[in-house]
Amino acid sequence: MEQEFALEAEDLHLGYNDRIVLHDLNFSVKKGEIFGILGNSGCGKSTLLKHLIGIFPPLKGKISLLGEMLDLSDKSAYNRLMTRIGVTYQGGALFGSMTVAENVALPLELHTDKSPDEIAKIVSEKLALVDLADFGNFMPGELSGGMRKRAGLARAIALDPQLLFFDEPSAGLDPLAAAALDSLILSMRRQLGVTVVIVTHELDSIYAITDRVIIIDKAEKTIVAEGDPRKLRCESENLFVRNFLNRNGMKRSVEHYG
Amino acid sequence: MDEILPSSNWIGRIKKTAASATAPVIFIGAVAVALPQIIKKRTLRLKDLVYYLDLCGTKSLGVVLLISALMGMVLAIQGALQLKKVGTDIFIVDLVGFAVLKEFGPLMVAIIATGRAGSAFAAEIGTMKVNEEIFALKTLGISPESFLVVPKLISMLIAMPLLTVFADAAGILGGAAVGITYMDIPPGAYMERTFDVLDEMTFVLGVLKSSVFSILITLAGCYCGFKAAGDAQGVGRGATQAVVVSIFLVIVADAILTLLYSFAGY
Repeated sequence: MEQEFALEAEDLHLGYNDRIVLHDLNFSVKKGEIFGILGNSGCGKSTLLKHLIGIFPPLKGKISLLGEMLDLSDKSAYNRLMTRIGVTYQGGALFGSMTVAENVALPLELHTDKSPDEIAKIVSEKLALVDLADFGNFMPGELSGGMRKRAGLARAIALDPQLLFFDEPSAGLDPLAAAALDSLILSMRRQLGVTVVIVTHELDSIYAITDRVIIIDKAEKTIVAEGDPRKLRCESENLFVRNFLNRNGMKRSVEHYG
Repeated sequence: MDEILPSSNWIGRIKKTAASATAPVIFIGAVAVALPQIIKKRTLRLKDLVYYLDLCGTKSLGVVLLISALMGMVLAIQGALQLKKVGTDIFIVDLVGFAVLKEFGPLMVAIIATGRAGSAFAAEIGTMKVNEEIFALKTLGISPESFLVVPKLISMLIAMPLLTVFADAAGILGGAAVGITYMDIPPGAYMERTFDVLDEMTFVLGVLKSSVFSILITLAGCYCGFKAAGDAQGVGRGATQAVVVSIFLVIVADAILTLLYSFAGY
């Protein structure tokens, strides 16, 4: 029977340095969904992402990706699983000593038996997909922030992953570049059929591309709402959720501080 | 809820202490596992190997030659002052030859490699950590140990013994310069005695020492990089720590190897 969920988190408690950052997290992401992880600054969104992709082990709870339990003690199983998953980072995290094309080619060289010609063809396709066809020979340091993010995306999709994680994809981008990246994520789902998990607090992106979101409240250290962001902004009973999704920071400040 | 924190009970605290105490061993184990795999699968990137060979070898050659020649001269001058008193000037050849081949050649190369390569390795890996490149490697299903440490280790294992050969030659020539000019030993006699008293084993054991030092410097440099805190100060501290730890390990290893060699009659 085909697995319905691309990601399942069960009773997750996360933290490090003797500090609990988030607790009692339970959520799942359906295959083909674009799923947002939202919350105020410093609430632990990126911490959650780093745990979901296995950078850090949870203090308690289980994570399942593409039907496989995330087990960090079995390195080879983890490495195999990660070839089916793509991750893009805030700053692109491109390897500075390699050209953009070499960055994109790296996972193909290390995880497939493809010939150099086949790899070069795939690299060209992926770079064209993120509109960087002419920048293959550039070093990461020669690219703008938005281009670095797109190059990181080309590397993340090099192995045609089934699940893609984005950490703050539109942070630091102008509105036009952010909108272009949103369109790219939507076309990525349309063309490749991938499931997408996005960590962000950019409301425009949230309403433009996500199907469902979870919202984390820094004060509660846990999920306070889950669902369609367009419905939550009007229907949520939680004041923080409504304020967050309606960008009511000023109103809340007035309510809180008079 | 705090009961799930590792520090909340004594078992958790013991586990945490044990984890930090065994971290260097686990790191060395990961490199030891990665080394044969990367050779077997032929996934070693030639470009990386060439880059690190250049960094650790070619770019260090000039300073190695200069410092080793000067060290040979200093040794010869200090030795000459003592040997002249008892009229055994010719033994300056033995003094310089053995000291350079067995100790100063490998040690000078190790110190220069620590300053050039060990600190560079720590800074490079530390900066990659700050830029989330180490996370990116992990989530690409690539072991950072195999991808980042193995090319450096192989390059150092090639470059340092070769540099030691050059250092040995420069040290002996530096000593010869003093012997010939300051002590009036004829050039032919100096070189003849050099080849008479120094055997292949003395040379090989010195080069072997250098291989051991290269492993220690690479592992210490890379480990300090991986353990560096994720900010600019952390990278600086990691690079400094790499130099201090490497020099300490090199001196300890030198003492142990010298003792072992002496037990074996060398």
